[in-house]
This record gives sequence, structure tokens and C-alpha cells, in this order.
Amino acid sequence: MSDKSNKYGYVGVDIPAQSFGANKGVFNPAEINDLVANNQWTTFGQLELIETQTYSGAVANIDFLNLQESTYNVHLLTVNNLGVTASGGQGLVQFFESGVIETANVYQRAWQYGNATGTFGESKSTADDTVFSFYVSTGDVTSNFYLYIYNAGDNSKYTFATGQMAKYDVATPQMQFGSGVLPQTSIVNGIRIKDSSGANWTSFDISLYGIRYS
Amino acid sequence: MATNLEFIKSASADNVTSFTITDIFSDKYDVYEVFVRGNGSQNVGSLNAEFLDSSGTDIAQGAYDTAILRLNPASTFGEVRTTNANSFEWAYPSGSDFDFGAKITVYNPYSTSSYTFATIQSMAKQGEKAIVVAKSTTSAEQMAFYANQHFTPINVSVFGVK
Repeated sequence: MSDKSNKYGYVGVDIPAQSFGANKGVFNPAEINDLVANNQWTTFGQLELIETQTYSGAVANIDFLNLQESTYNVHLLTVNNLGVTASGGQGLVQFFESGVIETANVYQRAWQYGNATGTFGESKSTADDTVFSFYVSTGDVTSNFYLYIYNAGDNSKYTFATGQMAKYDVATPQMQFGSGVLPQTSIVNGIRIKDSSGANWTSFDISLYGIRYS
Repeated sequence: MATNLEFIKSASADNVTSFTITDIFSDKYDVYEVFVRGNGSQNVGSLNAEFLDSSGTDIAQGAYDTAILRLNPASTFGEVRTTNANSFEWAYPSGSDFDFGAKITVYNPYSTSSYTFATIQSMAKQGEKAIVVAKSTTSAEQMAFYANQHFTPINVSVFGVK
């Protein structure tokens, strides 16, 4: 059905359909606001901040529960200055499936690690409770990493993560890079960062972004 | 207006063995992020790609060099090196019916004075970290993706990095 209302500078003619990258006409501020709200206005900057969490006190679990997974197919999680003291455990990244945290040994992961003053090696599992783990020793550890997360909102596809880390573990620089998967066709709508030993995080600045149109 | 990741194009297909996304590289950006999601149906070993010029011709036929680390959750990691290949691997479903997710960062594809480079992170049945150089100074405007069985489906989104 044609739309002959007066919009976008057009009067009495078929009004062009509007979409990202294909806006046609002369727009007034109200029309622009409506198009922005409907995601039909061309505006660049598709790395969109969803949420930032900053340390305000010792906490064991850092949860992101607003992934907006129906909007974004790819997410970017940036983790800065994630600190823990005397853990002796592993840092873990787990997913919530439809609001329920998945803690069973159903994840698969494969990560390469390297120590500035030690060895390189493989960290892998086909039955783990995390999509990404990173060793945190008995001393002070500060970890920094990013993860790209794919298909969180697609209940017909597995949810993947790829990423890279730079860590300072008891004065030893370390790196990790690799990939992981939750091989279950489910809706992932949350992310948890925790320590396997239950230690509290003592610092962090973490942001979650969605990549629109991904 | 200051911006960062700028959407260029997305496209998808289902039940195809090859898929080309056109008009993605231009003189507007030097660096691109290409996100690929989907499924490689049964018997897919590796998933490969090529950079194409404006007419759809591979810019580096027989001239792709790669260094790949396949990160296998179930076994020892594997190193793969290729020189003068006809395409480059960007994910490794490992002969199984497996979903995949990948990020391909592409450098200088439109330049006529430098080679086109790419770095890759992906996950399917196995993870992958890779570097690619297409030893060609021909300007690329498109990418083609190949599977030896069908993509079911393949979704590609391309962004320019401002």
C-alpha cells in the first residue's frame, strides 16, 4: 500500500521507505527522532555500549544480565584491571541460558598461553564449566582481556567466544588467546565472571558492547 | 561526528557452497571488521575465502600465504602453513556439522600500493588464530566464502574501522 502522507519533505507523492544507508528526503527533527528510535536513521558508530560495571566493593560474581541479545548477534566484552588476591583458582567466564547460569561441564575451549619468563602451552577441554578460564595464582593478579561472543540470541546456533588476554600474575606477564563454545542451541542472555575458588574480585572496569547489524 | 565501527553491509545465504558479498571495500576505510556466523554442513573440513576485485576475479589466485594455529579442544593444537595458495582458511569445523563464529580483520584491501592482510579469530569445532597475506596490489571490493558442502546458513556483516 502506498503512503501518500506528507513526510520527509514529500507532499502528495509516494513516500520513500527509510532504512539505514538509504534515507531519502528532507527531514525535520521529529522525523529524525522517530527514525532513530526505529533504527532507520543512518548514523555511524555501530559499536554500541550496553553496560559498564566498575568496581565499588569486593564481589565474587560479576554478572551482565542485559545482553540485548535479540538486537545484537555479536557482542564485545572488554575486561580491564580485573584484580584478585591470593585466589589459587581459575578465573571463569560462564553464560546464562534463558536466565539460568550454566555451570555444568558442557563447554569446550582451546586457548594458547605464554609466559614472559616461563613456558608456553595449551589450555583445552571438551568438558569444562567455562568458555574461557585463566589461571590466577596465590599472589596478586591483574587480568585484562576481551571476548567477542557470537550467536548469543540465536536459539538455533551454538554460542561462541574468541578472545585475547594480557595478564600480570605475581609480576610475570602472561598472554592467552583462543576460542570457546557452549555447544548448546539456546538463548544466552547473561555473562558471569567468577573465580573458581570463590575469591572476591578486588578491582575491575568491564564494558559490554553490542555490534549493531552484525 | 567522531565514530568508530561503521556499518557497511550485511548479507546472508542458505544452502549454498559459495557466497560472495559485494561492494564492501572502498577508499573510505583502510581497516575492516568482517563478522561471519553460521553453520558448515556435514563433511566440511576447512572454510575458505578469497578477496575479489570489482569484476569478481580473485585478486591473489595462487598467492595467498597463511600461518594458522588450529586450537583443538580435544587434541594437540595444530600449525598450518600455506604459501601461494588459491584461498585462505578462516574457520575449521573439522569435518563435522558444526556452527561457527569468526572475526576477520582486513587491512588495505582497496589499496593498489600494498598487499592485503588479514588477521582471524574464529571458533567452530576447533578454534583458530591466523594471519593472511594476499600478495597482490590489485584493489579488492568483494569477498567470497567457500565450503566443500553447504553453508546452512552463512551470515556476513562488514564494518569499516574509522
